[in-house]
Amino acid sequence: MGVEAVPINPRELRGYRFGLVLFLFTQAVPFVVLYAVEYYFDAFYISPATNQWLGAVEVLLMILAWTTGRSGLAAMRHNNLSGLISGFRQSLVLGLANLVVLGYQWGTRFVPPGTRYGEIFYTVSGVTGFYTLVGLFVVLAISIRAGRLRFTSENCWDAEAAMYFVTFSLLTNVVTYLFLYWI
Amino acid sequence: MGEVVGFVVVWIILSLLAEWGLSAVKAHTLYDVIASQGFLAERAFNFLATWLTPVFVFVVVYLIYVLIRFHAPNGKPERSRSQFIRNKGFVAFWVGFSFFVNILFWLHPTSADLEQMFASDMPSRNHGDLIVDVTARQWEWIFSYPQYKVTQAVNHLGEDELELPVGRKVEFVMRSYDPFHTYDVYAGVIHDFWIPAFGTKEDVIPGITRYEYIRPTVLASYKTNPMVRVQCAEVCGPGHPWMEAPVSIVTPSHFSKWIKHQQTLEAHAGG
Amino acid sequence: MAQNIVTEATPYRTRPTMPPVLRGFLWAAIGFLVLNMATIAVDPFRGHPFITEISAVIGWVGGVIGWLLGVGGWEGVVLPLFGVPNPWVAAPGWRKYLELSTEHKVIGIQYLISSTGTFGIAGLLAMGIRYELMQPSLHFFTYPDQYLTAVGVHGTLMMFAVGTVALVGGLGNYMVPLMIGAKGTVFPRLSGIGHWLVPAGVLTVIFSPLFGYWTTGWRGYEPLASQDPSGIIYYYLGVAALTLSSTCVAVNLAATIVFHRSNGVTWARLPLFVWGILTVSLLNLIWLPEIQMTFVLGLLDRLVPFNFFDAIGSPLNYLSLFWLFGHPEVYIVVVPALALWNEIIPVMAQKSLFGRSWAVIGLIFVMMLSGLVWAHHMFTNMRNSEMFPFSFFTEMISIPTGFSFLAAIGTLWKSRYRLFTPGLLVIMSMFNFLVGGLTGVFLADPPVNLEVHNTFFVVAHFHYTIIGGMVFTWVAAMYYWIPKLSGRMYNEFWGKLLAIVIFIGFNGAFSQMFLLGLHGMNRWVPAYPPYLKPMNYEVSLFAFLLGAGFIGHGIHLWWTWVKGPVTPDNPWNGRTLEWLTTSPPPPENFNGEVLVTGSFYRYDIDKPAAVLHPPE
Repeated sequence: MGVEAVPINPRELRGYRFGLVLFLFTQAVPFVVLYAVEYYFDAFYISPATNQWLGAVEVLLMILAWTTGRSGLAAMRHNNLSGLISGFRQSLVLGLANLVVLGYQWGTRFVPPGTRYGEIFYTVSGVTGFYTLVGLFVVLAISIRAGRLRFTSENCWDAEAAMYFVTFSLLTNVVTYLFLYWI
Repeated sequence: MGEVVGFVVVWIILSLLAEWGLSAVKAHTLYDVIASQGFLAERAFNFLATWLTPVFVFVVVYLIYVLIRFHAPNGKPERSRSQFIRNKGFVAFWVGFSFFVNILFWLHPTSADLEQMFASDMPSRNHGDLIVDVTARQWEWIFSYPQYKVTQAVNHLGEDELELPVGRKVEFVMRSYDPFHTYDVYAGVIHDFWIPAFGTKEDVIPGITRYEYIRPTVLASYKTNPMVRVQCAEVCGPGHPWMEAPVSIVTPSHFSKWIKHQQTLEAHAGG
Repeated sequence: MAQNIVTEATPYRTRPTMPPVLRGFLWAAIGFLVLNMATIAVDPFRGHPFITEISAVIGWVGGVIGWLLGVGGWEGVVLPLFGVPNPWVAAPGWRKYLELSTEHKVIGIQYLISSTGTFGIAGLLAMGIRYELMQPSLHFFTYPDQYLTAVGVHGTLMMFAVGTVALVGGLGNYMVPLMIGAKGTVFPRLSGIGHWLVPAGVLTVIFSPLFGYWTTGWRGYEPLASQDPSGIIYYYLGVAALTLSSTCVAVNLAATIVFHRSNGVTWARLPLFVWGILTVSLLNLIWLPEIQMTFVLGLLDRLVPFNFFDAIGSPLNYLSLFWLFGHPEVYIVVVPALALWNEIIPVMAQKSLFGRSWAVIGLIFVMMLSGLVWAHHMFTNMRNSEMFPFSFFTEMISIPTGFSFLAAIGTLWKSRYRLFTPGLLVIMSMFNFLVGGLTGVFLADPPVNLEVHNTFFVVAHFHYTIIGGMVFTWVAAMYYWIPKLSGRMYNEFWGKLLAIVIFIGFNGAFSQMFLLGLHGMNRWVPAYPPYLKPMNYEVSLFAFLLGAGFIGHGIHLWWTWVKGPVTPDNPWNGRTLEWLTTSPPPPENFNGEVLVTGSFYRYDIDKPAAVLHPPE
């Protein structure tokens, strides 16, 4: 390809990390708005029509996706490029499975959308799913990029960045789960 | 030092002149006010204006002073001989004064007036009020007098009209919904019940019943003073500018005659 | 993110088959059609028209993506993301402004052009509004909703594509890296793609009336918005694109300020304008995502439909969520302007900045307090008990705002102030903002507020802060920095004359609006009681003068850019870093390494604040 990765200087790397974390922090704001609206309308009400199992499965899949992605990144730190790629690809599949479960829940409409709880349920789970989707797109892109650019243990900021996104998705999934199914 | 004294003298003289000018218009800062709450607002307005006038004059005189005294005549970059970057006295004066004046404003007029306003809203203070139900719909104000069994007061053209006796406390009970489309949840939007001459306004919000208490103290009519009108002040769609109704503040005897007339009209309505 | 790529071969430019902007429009159309048809295909209710409200939303997303890819996002962002090198090099000459760029100076100019163009369009709408208000009845617009849409589009564009953008995306992008001695920004691609969201958002808002006139003004108040025709959807979406653009700028500039300062630019030496941009970036990062999610809720209210904000939900909830963003928004607009006063005044006065730390503290406290005052927009519809805290914080926020005056006044005392156009405009801006600020104290008092809320008093107040504070300072900053942007100098006579014209036009128009408001003129009305006509007529005449003055400034600045006389690198004798380099600056900003050894604001020291070590 005529392209190779070169190490980033540490100051620049700190800039990237800071910027990305800053960005992800700002993306927590919409979730705060949603949770506040949820509290405003529903307080601590949980619809008995929710399927607790599917909600738990979603979070479990996301935890697995995060774990596999994390192990991929750990492999990269030991210069194991194929470990990174396969870890990210597994993470991608698990994340997609999370979205499929969400899609199934939406499709079956366990929760009637015309209710106060239903409005909140579809809005909050939909936004969480959207952010998960964006995170998965990043994972896909970086898994392809890693192969083309031949990441090394010194130069794998991009993989680290992708994991920031996955971590963000995991956190939003967990908090959303707690708000929708527990409190 | 001489420069400072000169500036301060100019500032004080011009501030006094400005205060004198303000006092000449004080009775009309809110143009025409005819109700209790309006006098409260006008007093607060004048109090703030009195204190803020020297502040305004200070900065304006200062800027003009700079343009005259401190400008470089030929535009050449020329450094001033005094290159101070701090002056404890000036900073203490500025910061201290701005804290003082803002806390003052919050205590008086803000807090003092709010206490007075809230007190006049208390149920114990509001026995025997004239109750007027105000219904805001797109785009009409409907006034009912439940104590007199008048459901919709209208004038000789059939337009909605609000008439109040002078000197009696009024309780407005305000709702926003469309009595003709109660099944449509989107039909109610936010309106704003405003009589400019009363010196206050309150939003009318779908799903909420809100109250306003006021005592009109001056005889007045829309016919002679256009500020004596109900005007919707919150945008509510294309009909918003025309969502207005004439108001009259009349003597109690005239009011009872008017109410009788309304009752007669309603008794014959549809007949 | 794709910084770590080097190409072995020398960069080459594959000629795009068509100009990037043209390709952007084409791809946008394709993107819209594809996603629109995909939505129609899965629509369970057959027999709808070709474009429904839902397909218009999803199609719009496709359109924006197509547009961003078309102007260069495909080559500049997507390919590198997947590890393929960017086949383009920057186009030469003026063409580089018409495609995706990663150079902060080009991006800054792009933002300035977009903002200025939008200012012209939204200003023209204002002229239409004022023409309508010359008569008490409808005579220019045919329907009242046309008027209300004009008001809404004017406000939306001015806030989201001019006020929030010109000083931050425009001058911020251009000047901040220069002022901290950086050679570039941390996220140049993000920043480059961010700019192209502005034209997308602006066009969305401008063409929203094609889907029906919306009547809510720039605030999109519910439940009226749910009841409006479909145009309101493109208000939500346009604002989403514009706020996303400002978010990109904020992330990029905040990271750049923290990590790309050159040697010696310590926090204690950081220029005031950079402080202004940093505080504003934090405001943007907190509040823009907040309003985006609020608008998503509004959109769902309309499309699904849900009932978050109507009579069986809570309209007040929308108002709170809107103003929670809406009030910080006005500080997003004016804080960089306040910072610019104290950037320009010491240079024009050739005098050390007075009370620098007070000026910085002022900016920071305005930022922090701005999130605590929002409900003063809701005195007419809040619980009584809530009036106390909000009036308290609203009155308190004038204290840190005053610190900018404190520093400016201290600096001007006994100076040798050079009355060039930027200097004159800053003085004018201080006067205007003073009027805006003092009338704000009246509005902070609930009893007074209850009378003047939603009247022209409020219209005058915020135009005094926004036009008087921000736009005047923007024009001042353009005159101040045009020698840096172009290497050319404006004409002093025309600059001053036009400054006086806009000052007279502005004050003539908006000062009378205070009186109109007190006399019973409410907002959002294309028709009003006839007793208000004479003053409205005068206001309109002054407003036309103001509009003409702005057009004059635009033409004058354009002439300067193209034909103005060539000027030395540091015509004002300024000490900040942007004056250390050539005009216009080279692609890498500085030919060598910048080392800062002194304060940028001390004019009692002969030694320059910084030295430029030429490259070995």
